[in-house]
Amino acid sequence: MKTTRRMLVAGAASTAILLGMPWAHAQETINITALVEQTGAIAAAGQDIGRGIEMGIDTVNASGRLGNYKIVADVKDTASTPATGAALASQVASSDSIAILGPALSSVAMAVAPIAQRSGVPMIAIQANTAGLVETGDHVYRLTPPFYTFNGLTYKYLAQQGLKKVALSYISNIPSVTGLGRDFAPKWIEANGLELVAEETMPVNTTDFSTTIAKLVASNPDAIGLYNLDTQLPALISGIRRAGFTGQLFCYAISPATLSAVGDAGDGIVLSIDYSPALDDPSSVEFTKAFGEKYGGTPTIYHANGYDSVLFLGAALEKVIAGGAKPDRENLLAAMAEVAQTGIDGASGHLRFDSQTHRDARVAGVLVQYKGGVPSVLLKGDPNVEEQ
Amino acid sequence: MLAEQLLVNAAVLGAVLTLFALGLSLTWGALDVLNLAHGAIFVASAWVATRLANSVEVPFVALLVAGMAAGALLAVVAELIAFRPIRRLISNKRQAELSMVAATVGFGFVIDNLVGRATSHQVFSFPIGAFEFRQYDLGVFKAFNIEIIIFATAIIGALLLNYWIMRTRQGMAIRAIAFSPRIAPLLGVKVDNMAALTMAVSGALAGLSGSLMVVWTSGMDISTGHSLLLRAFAIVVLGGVGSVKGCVLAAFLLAAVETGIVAAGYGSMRDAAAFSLIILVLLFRPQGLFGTGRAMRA
Repeated sequence: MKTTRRMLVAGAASTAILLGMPWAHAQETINITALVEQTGAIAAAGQDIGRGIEMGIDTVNASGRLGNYKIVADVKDTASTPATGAALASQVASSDSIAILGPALSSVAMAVAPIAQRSGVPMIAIQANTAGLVETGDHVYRLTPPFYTFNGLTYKYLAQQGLKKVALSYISNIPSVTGLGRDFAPKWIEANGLELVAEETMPVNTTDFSTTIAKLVASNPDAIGLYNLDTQLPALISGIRRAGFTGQLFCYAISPATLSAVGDAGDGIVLSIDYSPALDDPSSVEFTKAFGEKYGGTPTIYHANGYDSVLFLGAALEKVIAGGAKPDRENLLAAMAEVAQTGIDGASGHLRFDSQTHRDARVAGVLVQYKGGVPSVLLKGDPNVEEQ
Repeated sequence: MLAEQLLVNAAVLGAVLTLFALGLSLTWGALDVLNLAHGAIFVASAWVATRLANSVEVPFVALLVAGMAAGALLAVVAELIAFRPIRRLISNKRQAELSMVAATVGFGFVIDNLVGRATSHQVFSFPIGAFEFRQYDLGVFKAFNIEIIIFATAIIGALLLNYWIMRTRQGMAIRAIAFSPRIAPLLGVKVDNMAALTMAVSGALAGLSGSLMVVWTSGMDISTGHSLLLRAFAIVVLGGVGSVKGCVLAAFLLAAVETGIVAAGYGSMRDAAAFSLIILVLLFRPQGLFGTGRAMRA
């Protein structure tokens, strides 16, 4: 009787304790910070990246791979300015946030990276194509393959099509884009037996392209390459077509809004890219389908880049948690290095990392052609080659 | 490349800059408002015109009128909620000017933010077919219809504005305000009404130039207004604040220099070269090409 009473008391007490301990079943949070350009020069890209991050977090949290943990992101707007980015990074350093996702603008990423490195916060940059970013230190990763690692595909395609003469237009004061037009394109042109017949440069704030267009078309090229911002492309593409150029147009990035603005003038345009809705890798197809179901519409490259950054973070966190360690900055960093050895399958297909720093992502890349605003894959990069 | 084509390019660019800069010059000259929201009003008006074109099928002229109306409305709103209260509350002229500049920056940010949200910070444009491009042979020149329209609109607009300011009673009232906003009421000028009217005309010019430019460039985003604002500021200073003639001449001069630099193969230097020229001119004529002192402004 006495024993039974004791057992009842003990059972009741246990039940009471369990019921009174909500944390026993509640998920623990892993706080991270997303530094996203929600306003300013690259607000359109930044907002897409933000949505990609959101989708990535939902996907990782719903997968159950993090056990009793869930990722919670504090999204901050860098306003596309390095000073704001640096200030926010300093706040992250003294917070309980264990990682920084982003930023996307090279100048902002370059301002944030040293702070992340000094503070011991793992940083996963998105886009930020500038040279020297991951070289900041072992805490700085970049999940978007730099343009120069897959843009050479375009010139392979031009050569395959039997084209000979190429004219280029590029922005003169955005390092990552300028580098493509000024430094890499001439090498690719030479490597593929093509000839550079015109080279036109302009500052990023240019709004009038009439003389540039006249000079490009007058050089009588077979193809014209546009290393210009998306906002400049409508005037350039429409103007070049109105000037009577019927040859091949190519660029390094173009948005659905710009394709819509130029209409038929954009038909046939090609570009090499790390993600396209036309990609047929299983992980890419899965992402494109899931995005459509969740948000409607077709994802952009920026959605894909944001999503992939979270998949990488999620894979590293999974390793930390599976090993029974605490998901803190130090353990996360070690796990990121492990994940980088094998890479991940994400929206852009199989993402691996460069052989030098092992922190800079690489993909095979694809060359797509647009018709009626819809892309189709014409050429795939070699997955065994680091730079196409 | 044919020199004739360069002339056409310079003329059209000059016309675009003229249309944009006239509105800025007008408010600065008449009301002492350096309206740094002018670029935002330009973009917002163009966006309104494109939204209308994407919603209903209306003649192109109606789209231009809608753009002008949107620009006028936004500028009047700025006058009513910001500039007028500042004019009434701050008697110190210099302080009032600085406060108004700050207010225009704020107003511009608000408009940019709203348009940015509405467009998801993407390029916006008229629907394909809203304007049909045609090329015309004009003797030795070849120009598209939109280029001819922009050029003609800029010239006619500048002439009408000059006539309005110099030859009408309203223009006389505006010049009186430009001379002294304190003395003008003593002469029977209703300063508030004339200030609102001046802002409306300035906004309408921004709307007209924005609506035409979005056709010419096949699309724009909020950054387009920022790019033009700096050049327009330089044009107004170079031409002489408040001078229509100076504004037109400076706009075409800047356009000619920029076109020449790009044609010469130094496209990346276009801004640096153009602004160096402006500095050079201002060293010899600090009041601008047609600036003749405050009494003659507006």
